[in-house]
Amino acid sequence: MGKAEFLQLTMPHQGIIYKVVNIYADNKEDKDDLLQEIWLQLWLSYPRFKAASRISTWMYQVALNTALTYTRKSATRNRHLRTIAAEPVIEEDKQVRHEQERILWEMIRSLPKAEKALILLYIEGISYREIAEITGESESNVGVKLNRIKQKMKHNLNTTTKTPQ
Amino acid sequence: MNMHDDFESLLKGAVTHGSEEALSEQAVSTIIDERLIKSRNRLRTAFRNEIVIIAATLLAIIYLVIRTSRYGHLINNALRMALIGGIVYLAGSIVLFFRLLRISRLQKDVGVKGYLKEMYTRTEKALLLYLWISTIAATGALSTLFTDSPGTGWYMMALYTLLMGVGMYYINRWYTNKRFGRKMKDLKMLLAEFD
Repeated sequence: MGKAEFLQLTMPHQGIIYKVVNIYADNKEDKDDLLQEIWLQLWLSYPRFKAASRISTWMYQVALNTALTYTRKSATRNRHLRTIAAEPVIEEDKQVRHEQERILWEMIRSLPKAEKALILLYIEGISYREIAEITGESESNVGVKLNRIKQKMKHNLNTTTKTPQ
Repeated sequence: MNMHDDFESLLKGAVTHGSEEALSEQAVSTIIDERLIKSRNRLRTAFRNEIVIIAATLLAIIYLVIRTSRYGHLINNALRMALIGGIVYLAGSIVLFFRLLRISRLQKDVGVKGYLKEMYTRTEKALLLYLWISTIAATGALSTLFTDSPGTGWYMMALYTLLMGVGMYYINRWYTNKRFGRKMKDLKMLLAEFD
């Protein structure tokens, strides 16, 4: 199984990695490091990839498992990551034009790690069945937890936006 | 648009800002190659450090054995036992090193909950094994210091050994907690979140 084949299969879905990195890493260096680690783990896990499962499901599993157990190991910068390395966290937030979207983004980032994973997968439009497969939870559990998270966020959003600054 | 739809679209909009410029295949390929090299180097360094610590400790013990041999046969014997205990203790460290290495290479393309559970259970087992190996080895080695002490009753020796065992257990527990405590706590918290 060659690297060309691996890249051909995974590159169209690299957005998955960015989303996981952005949601779990706090600063530029951590983002670089986590991004590299996820690509490495994907490559190392590739020989076990079964074509029967969806590539996106497989990539989410590897990316989330890597991010959830990630501890920053190195501050070494990588010249190939200028695109994300050049942007400080505050710059990313500027990209969120709508104030409520920005607040929601901050809420998502402040969620506990497991809830972050669930809401990320939900926002990506992944079915409950697939979310259950990725997280290893039951479908009904996924539904219950997502409803709870959404309710909590909705409530917090209403409270935040109604509170005079 | 009703409130529910509005919230859903806001939610989707909130995450879209994280979309950076895509990397080229060449860039990703280079990232993987460099990361592989870095990972191998890190592993080599960690292993070398373990070996250096073991070698330095053994050399120090051997040096002590040679230096004290002129003080008499009894101390020499005790130190020989301490050397054996030290070897067992350090072998425990190597076992822990390789076990942790295997754990870090656990299959990641599985359900998140299962992965976390497996990681937690295996790490806990490895640490427990290390804790007992190191406690028994250290206590065994130290207790030999009493074996040739004239005038010490067996009950006193048993009491000292017990006290040393408890002491060694807590010292080793402190060490494993200091080194892996935070990681284990984080894993436990994550597991609780998923439950």
